[in-house]
This record gives sequence, structure tokens and C-alpha cells, in this order.
Amino acid sequence: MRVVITGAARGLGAALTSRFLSARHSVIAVDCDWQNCKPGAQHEAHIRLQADLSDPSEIAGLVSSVRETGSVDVVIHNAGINATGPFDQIAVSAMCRVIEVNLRAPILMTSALLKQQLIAENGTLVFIGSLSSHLSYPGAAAYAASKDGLLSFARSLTPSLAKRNIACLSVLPGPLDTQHARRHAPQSADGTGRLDPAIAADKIYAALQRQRKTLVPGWRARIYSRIGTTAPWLAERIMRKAVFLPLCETHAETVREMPK
Amino acid sequence: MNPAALPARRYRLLPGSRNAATRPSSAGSADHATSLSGRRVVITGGTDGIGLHLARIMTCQGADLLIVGRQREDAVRANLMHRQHYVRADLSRPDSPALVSQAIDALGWQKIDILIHNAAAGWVGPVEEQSAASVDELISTNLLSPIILSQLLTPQLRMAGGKILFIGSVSADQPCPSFAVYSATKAALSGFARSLRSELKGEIDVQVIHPGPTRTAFHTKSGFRSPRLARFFMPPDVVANAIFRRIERKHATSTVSHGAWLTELFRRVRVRI
Repeated sequence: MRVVITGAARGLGAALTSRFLSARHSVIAVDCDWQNCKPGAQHEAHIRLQADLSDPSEIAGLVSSVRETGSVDVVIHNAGINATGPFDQIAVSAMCRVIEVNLRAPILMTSALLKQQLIAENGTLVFIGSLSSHLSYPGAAAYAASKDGLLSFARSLTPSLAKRNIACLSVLPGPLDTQHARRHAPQSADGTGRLDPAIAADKIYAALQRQRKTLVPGWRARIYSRIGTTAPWLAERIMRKAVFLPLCETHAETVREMPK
Repeated sequence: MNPAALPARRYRLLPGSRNAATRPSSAGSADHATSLSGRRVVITGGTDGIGLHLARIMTCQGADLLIVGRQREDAVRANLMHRQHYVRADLSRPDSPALVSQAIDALGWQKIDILIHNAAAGWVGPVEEQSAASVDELISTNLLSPIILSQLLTPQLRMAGGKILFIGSVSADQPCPSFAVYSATKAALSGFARSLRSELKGEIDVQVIHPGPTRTAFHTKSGFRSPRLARFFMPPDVVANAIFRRIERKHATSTVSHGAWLTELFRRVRVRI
């Protein structure tokens, strides 16, 4: 299989890259920054591309480089960024970038790949969303927006692509044990219960083999997902207490520590 | 002839539309006539369709309005009612929220009671045929501008203990192959509202109302052409009335559509994706 993975330098993207490479698939790894990435992510067997997904022209460039190597079987829209804090104190540019990278980039990329017929028959589009779609995510409303939008986009594509034998897989991971997730977690969070990205990558790989439509990796995430879908008010209360209020404290501390 | 003696217009398809705004004032609730007096309302996309009717209803209820639209000011001026102000801003452009904010400062409004995000752009067709510029326009108009505008106006809304109202769409929760990007932006908007509501609890109320297909210029602008289907669309004044009635309620989300309660039931009960 030929696989395109965005945001492949770190975190879940790096784990997915290793997983696919160990199963002897060829991987086109995309990231905006290949410096300072873990040495484990730099395998020899794949093509590495650099593109800033917040820029539509770079996405077009990326698609044309993919075109040179032929059609692909799996596209994993994994690249994602976050911006956390009290809503009125997050910079506008940060929120715009969140929407551009998490929502606009997958839409533009999917649209361009489909237009140029670069996705092979029996191919799969994988959209990495977030458990926030079931739980809400106070303290990162723009992030929650982008991931909800992405999953809705996947849902809309599913029936029309099924006619062309292309499947869609929506993944809703909970908190992962990655650098990026830790950076945006409240300071008080001790990091227990975070899912190892390697395990998440394994589960995504297995779901792909079984042609599943949706996946919530990890039993903790599944419990929370069930709470969120059956008792949204409870999920919102938990998220406010467990995420938003600690985030506000962290934010207040960093503001206090900043030199005047 | 006494207008109160005339029977109120009733639409069977929308049980919520028999509301205070259309009912003659003698029907038991005289204070409804000025239920919004002294309130300040900002509405985007208030020059056409649902927004136009909603703006009229709210003005009739005594509110001061700032209408945001894309049309030239002299074209709109003739249609403006008393206590309606207008600012021209194209919400697909990144500088537009700042323009609205400046207009509010120019009016000297320290408080805003209701902010209504009603403006939206659409595009109909398979996603691979949609140009990057069109994707960009939809995301900016339907998602980015409301986010930025909400942030800019948070201080004024907080001062009034106000409300942010997002006009969503019933398509947000359905798979819509020919409306993929539009419904993605609307789903994103409702996800944003849900998180924001939890964040601003006790300070600013956040509400989402999902209207069903409505007989406005939106569909033609989006490239939707199906006169046979359009016959079943709801008239915009009816939808605006129903939305107005729901603004006074505290529900976080509600639906204004054919068989709204059924749609809402499905929306709530169904385990989403």
C-alpha cells in the first residue's frame, strides 16, 4: 500500500509512520518542520515532504509532488494543532491557524486528491478527529470547532465516495501521550490515562484492515465517549472541571510570571 | 376594523410559529410588544432572508439593531427601519470583524445584549469540483468571522450578561455529499458553540438554532436549483418568527424545521458518528 501521512514528524503521525513501515508499506510523510524530530521517526524507506498545511499553495504543491509518484491507497489526515486558554485571551491568529490546519487543509487536500484521481480504488481516507466531538472542549473552542467540522466533512464524503469504492475512517482519539498534547494540557495534569501513540497507531492500522467507519481508540476514551453521547450535560460538567478551570489557572500563572 | 379581531396566520407545519410576534397584542400578553425595548442587538447578514425578517421582528419588539451586511450602504438605507443601524462588512474578509467592532464603538454601545451570527455562504456540488477560493470563502464567512467577532465583542456581551446566538443548519448533523463543506462549517460552528457555552457559563449565554431549508436567496446563491424541492421550503418570515420565539428560551440547541421535534429527537438520541 502507498500511504500519505500528514504531521508525520512527531506524536501520533510518527507512530503511524513506524507502524506502516514495519508492515512494509511505502509511506509519504508530510510535515511542516522536520528539524528536531525524534530520530525514530526518520526511517529510510519513505519519501519525506515538507509543507506548511496552513498555506493553500503549499497544499497544491504537496498534491503535485504526490502526483509524480502515482496514486495512493491511504491518506491519513493527522496533522493538527491546538490553541488553549480562556477564549477571549487566545490570539486571533492562533485560532485562525487552528482552523486552517485542522479543517481547511484536509478539505483542500482531499478535494485536490479526488479531483486529480490520485486516490486508488479501494483506498481509504482517514480523518483524525478528537474525542472533543463527543465531550466538548472548553478552553479550546476553536480546536473543538475544527475537529467537529472535520468529522462532519468525513460523514458527508462517506456516501458519495462509497460509490467510487473509497472508504472513510473517522478516528476520535482521547488524550495521547505526545509532546503536543502535554504542551496544551493544564499544568496540574499528571498525565495518567494518556494513551501511548504507538498503541493508537496499532488500533488505527487494525481498523483500516477491518474497514471500520469509526474508531475510538482506548477503553478510557470509549467510556468518556459513551458518557458524552448519553449524558452530554455530565460530559460538559466533567470537561469544565477537569480541563477548563485548571487551564485558566495555568494561564493566569503564565501571565503572572511574564515580565512586565 | 380592529386588527386584533383578525385571525392570526397559522402554519400547521411549524407548531412554534404561533408566537408573540405575529399574534395581535390583545391576545393576553400586551408587554410582549416591547419585550426587547432598550436591548441592543447585533445581527450579521441582516439584509436578506431570515436575517432581514429577524431584524424586523426584533426592531418591532423595541430593540436597537446594528445590521451587518455586504450590500452598499445607500442600497440598504431606504429599507432600514427606525432604530436600525447598518455597517457594510464582507465577512469572508479577515478585516470584517474589526469593522463591525469599530461601528459599535462609533455608536457608543458599551453593552450588547444579543449577538446573532446569521450570515452564511453556501456552495452546492461535489467537493472535488469546489475551488480552493470557494472553500476559503465558506470557512471564513461561516466559521472564522463568527469566532473572531464573538471574541471581539465578548467584553460588551459580558457587561450586559448577553447572549450569543449561532444560526446553524439542520445539515450540520446529516451526511450531505453535495453540501459537504457547508455542513462541515456548520457542524464546526455548533461544536464551537458547545465548548464556548460551557466556558462562558454564568457570564454569557450561548445558543445554537438550526433552521431547516428556507425559501431565501441563499440556495440560488449557492447554486442549488430544484424548484420542485424548493416548494417545500419554509417561508423566511415563519422561520424568523420561530427563531425569535426560541431566543427567549434557554435551550442550548433547538431546531426550526418541518417536524422539528422529530429532527431534534433524532439529533439528541442518535449516537453521533
